[in-house]
Amino acid sequence: MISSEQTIVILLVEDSPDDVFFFRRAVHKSGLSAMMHVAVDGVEAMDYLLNKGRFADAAVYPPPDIMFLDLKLPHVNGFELLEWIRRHAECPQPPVVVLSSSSQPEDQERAETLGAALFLTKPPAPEQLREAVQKCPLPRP
Amino acid sequence: MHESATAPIKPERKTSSPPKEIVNILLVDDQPGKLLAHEAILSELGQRIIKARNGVEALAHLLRYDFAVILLDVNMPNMDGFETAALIRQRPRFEKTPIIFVTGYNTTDLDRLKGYELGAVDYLFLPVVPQVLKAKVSVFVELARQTQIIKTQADDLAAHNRRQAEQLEVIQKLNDELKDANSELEAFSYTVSHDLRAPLRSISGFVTVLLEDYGSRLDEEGRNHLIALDRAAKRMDALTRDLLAYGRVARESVTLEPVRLQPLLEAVISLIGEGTTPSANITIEPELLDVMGHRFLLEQCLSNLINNATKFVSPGVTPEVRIRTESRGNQVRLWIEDNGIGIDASYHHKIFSMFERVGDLHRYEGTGIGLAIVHRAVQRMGGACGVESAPGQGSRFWVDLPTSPPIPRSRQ
Repeated sequence: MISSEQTIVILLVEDSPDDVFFFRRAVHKSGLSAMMHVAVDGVEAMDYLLNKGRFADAAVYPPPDIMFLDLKLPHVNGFELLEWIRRHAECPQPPVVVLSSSSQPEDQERAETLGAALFLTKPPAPEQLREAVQKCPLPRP
Repeated sequence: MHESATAPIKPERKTSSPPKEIVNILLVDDQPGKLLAHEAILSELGQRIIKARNGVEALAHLLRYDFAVILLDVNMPNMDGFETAALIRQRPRFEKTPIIFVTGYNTTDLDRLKGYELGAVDYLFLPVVPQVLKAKVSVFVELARQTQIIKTQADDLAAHNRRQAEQLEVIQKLNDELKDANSELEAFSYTVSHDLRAPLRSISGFVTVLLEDYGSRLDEEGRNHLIALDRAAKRMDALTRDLLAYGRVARESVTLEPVRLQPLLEAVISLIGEGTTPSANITIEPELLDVMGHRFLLEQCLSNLINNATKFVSPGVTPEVRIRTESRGNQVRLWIEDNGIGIDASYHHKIFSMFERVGDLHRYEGTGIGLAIVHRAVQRMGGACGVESAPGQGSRFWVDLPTSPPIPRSRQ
């Protein structure tokens, strides 16, 4: 469990600037003490997790405590990213909350099979974000 | 292309009377008198008779026509009957052509006849008895006719098979094209459901931001405009979602399987609960019967019917919905009954069509697609649906589906 006082690192993988705005606002309203970073597609998310490219500085871009993942992304989509993370044991394995624009059961099932911890329909409400953070196991001590 | 591949059909074969094929008979004799006499006797058989004066002429005819039988005089100058027969038999095409030798009571001839072993062979002694000649020849004529009929039938059958194979190929090709089109449509729908709806979600999202963060700086009229804007965006979103659902219901490949209604209803109701429905009392009767259905299509039916049942109530009335099943022979009738505003009987036949909204329903949210989805989904599962209702007396919607064989209750 993550206590609400602790500052957590959130990685949001989302290509839509509007959705990034709504997410940031919901995090702010949730009262969570969080440091939030954004990757705009699956490839950037990989870069972040491996501290490559513009995310090279591990002090500024530490391993995320929780990752929020949009399914529909350019280049490498959400499902592909989930698979990639499971295949790369050497990279951080944060709990993943999938954000989808539709509550299609197939998408949800597939995401869960690939190791997603939770499935939320966009836009997530502040309390949903709090719950997600509380439910997800903390990867670091 | 098709026509050229098809064997031409002779008109007489289309009649119901047995086919009368004319076959050829070859008479070979060096004496014109004998030729004429034999021709006169055989003409009664009604077949085509061709005459040759020697072996060479006979061979020339054989190259041009098929013959049911050859009547071959043994005693001819230059090339006799046996030599002619030997030449005929050298060609594979005539290996099986029946030959009747015409000969006198000559011992040498008889000996040679006995030693003659090639193909169907018979013989006639001179002087020829007309009845015997006719009888012997007609046996071979009949044989040739039957062979020809069988061959025509075999050809027809082969042509038929060929046509069928071609048709199968065409169907296969169409099927492949259909599959391609379908998966394209699937991809298109996925894109539409995500990309077309994203801007609408943004509109609603920013309306919320405006109302929450800047609402105090607007007067009531301004806030109402924002609410109207949000409602329009949500309606467009609902329309898009319902049209996509309708499209998917229409093209989803359907295989019926046993479905337990109880857990499916619970899942559908919990999803509806997430929406806007304020405190509806939904009662599911215990011991629901199981049906043969398709999970996605059933989900679509149930969510639309239950959604409607909780939605169309008079202001201030708490929606009461009752769900039950009854056995009707080999069918199960699922009832979804509500205490809503009811529907006039004159609209009952129209409500299951696309975009039909009844009477003064404009104060209720709705796309006019829900019941069209229900109707289409039920149709695709081979079932039926309908409604019993009157204004002010609630509505009782029913769906008939085949009864399921018992499903093991392993989950319990």
